[in-house]
Amino acid sequence: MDQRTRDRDHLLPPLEAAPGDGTPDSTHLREAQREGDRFLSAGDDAIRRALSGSSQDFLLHSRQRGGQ
Amino acid sequence: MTDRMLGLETEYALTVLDRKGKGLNRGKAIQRLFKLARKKFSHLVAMHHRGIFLANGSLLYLDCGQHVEFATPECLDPYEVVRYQTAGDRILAGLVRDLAAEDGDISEAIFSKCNVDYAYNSRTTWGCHESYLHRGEPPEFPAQIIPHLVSRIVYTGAGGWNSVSPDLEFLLSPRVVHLVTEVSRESTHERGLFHTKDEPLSGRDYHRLHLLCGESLCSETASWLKLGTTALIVALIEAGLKPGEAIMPRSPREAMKIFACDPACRAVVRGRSGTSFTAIEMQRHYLAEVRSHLHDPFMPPWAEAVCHKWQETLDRLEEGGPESMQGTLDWAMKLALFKNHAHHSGFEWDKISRWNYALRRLRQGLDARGYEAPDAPIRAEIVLHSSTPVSQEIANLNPFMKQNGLEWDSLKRFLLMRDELFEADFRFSQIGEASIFASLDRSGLLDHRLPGADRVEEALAKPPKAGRAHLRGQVISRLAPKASGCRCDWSAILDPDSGNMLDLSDPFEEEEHWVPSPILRRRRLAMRRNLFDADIPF
Repeated sequence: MDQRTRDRDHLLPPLEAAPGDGTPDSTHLREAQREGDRFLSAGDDAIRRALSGSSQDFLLHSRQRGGQ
Repeated sequence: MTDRMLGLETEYALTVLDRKGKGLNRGKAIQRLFKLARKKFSHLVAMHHRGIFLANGSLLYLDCGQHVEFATPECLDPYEVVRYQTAGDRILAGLVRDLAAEDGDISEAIFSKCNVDYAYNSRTTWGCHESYLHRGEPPEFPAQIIPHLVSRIVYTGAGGWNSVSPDLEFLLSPRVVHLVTEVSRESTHERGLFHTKDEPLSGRDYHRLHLLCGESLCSETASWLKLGTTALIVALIEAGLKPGEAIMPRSPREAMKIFACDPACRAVVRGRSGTSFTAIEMQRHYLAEVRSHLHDPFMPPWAEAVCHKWQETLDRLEEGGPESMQGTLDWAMKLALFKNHAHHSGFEWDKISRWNYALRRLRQGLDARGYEAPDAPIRAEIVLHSSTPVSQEIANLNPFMKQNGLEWDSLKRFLLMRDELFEADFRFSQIGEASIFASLDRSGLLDHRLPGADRVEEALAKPPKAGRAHLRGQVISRLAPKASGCRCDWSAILDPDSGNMLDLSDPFEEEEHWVPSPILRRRRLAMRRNLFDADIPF
């Protein structure tokens, strides 16, 4: 588990409800947690790739005219 | 009438950057983009819009405000609308790619369905307008549908930031803060929650409910739910029922803001009847109303599928919170990603409101001294400089900072993160494979696809299978290669050569009947094929 994965733990639901006793409920919760972890990891990568330059400059130069 | 007809108009933000990351002239880029579109697609020039009707029955045009807009053809169910909206996104993604490829000065050209502009003091918003054909009584609509528009944002919200506030404030629906009145006739000024414009674009007896308060979404399921639930409520109102009467909030606009600020979906608003309810409870009320008429003859065949997903979505939001919908709803996806990004930037989500408080105080200090234009972004290098203009505010804030574990040294990083989060929202909704949404979708971690809204390839070139859009698309395919001078509109196609007109004022027209057009007959003598050329900007 890398630092960023460890850092993410605080964002996930508490594990008390999934003591890992092998019951269907705990298995389901663990799977949901793993999936949430994968989602955040993939999103993190996507945001890093998308934000390649200065966001301040990007916002300034992408300034738009109005829609409705 | 069991047949429904509905569609979307989507406004796109266009950003064109040069090799140094500076913005290029957007007007010129748009001109070239439409020239590319005219080369690439079979089309007829639009009569009353600055744009072209395509062979799939849709309209691509330049709207007032100089933004590019795509209107789906008239569709008969929400699956079809989602399919054609996806096709529209692909059409624009291809055009913007072509634009960048043919111009060596362009480093990046982006269309985005981001609903608000985060550039300093911009106050720009882009809409995703919905149209629902009906034969009900228009004055009945506001009272019955406004509670739906207020509360549906728990699943229709695009998610994003409050773009008119100095705070960093996440909203389920960022467009909410741009709605300045409850009911309005205007679409660009005094943007209303409910829009009274009734331009049917059809013959007599038809009305068009034209909704302005919605947002562009990336999730197919969220788009489908937005269209499906609203169309079913339109069906109830059209049938003379009053599904919204018991749950009208005392202040609809305030209620919408309260709901938009509450990702937990537990905020309560007071109704005019004296009862209080959450957004989810309001939605459950509508769902029950629809269900109680599910088998009535005016209900469309897809009503049950919508009700099933509607209930599942409300149940999951209520029981599992936004995390339970982070693979499906746009706002829930963004909330999870943005929280995660803030954490990795060194800021916990629950401390952002404290930073907001400090920034507001600094802003007030800067404004009081006339230091920068109002609402200008705060710059850490000015605020923290040894000769800072807000030394008094900093001194006053020091105890607050200490008490809340905030450090001035982190101010620059906080402001940087704020800009990154704004750009991340813009890039989330970018059209094409480079977007954050597309990247997540490729990873297989989203649950937003809609069975029944596939066959997008077909929708790129072919019109819907029924309704007047079908006829329009067929005629465009046939006439476009002949470089005819025909002009197209939603309710008619005019042929100046023959002086005839294809009347499409019946939205459910199935047969092609060309009739002499008295207007054309008169004008063609003088203008021949140049009939409408003065209107073509491209």
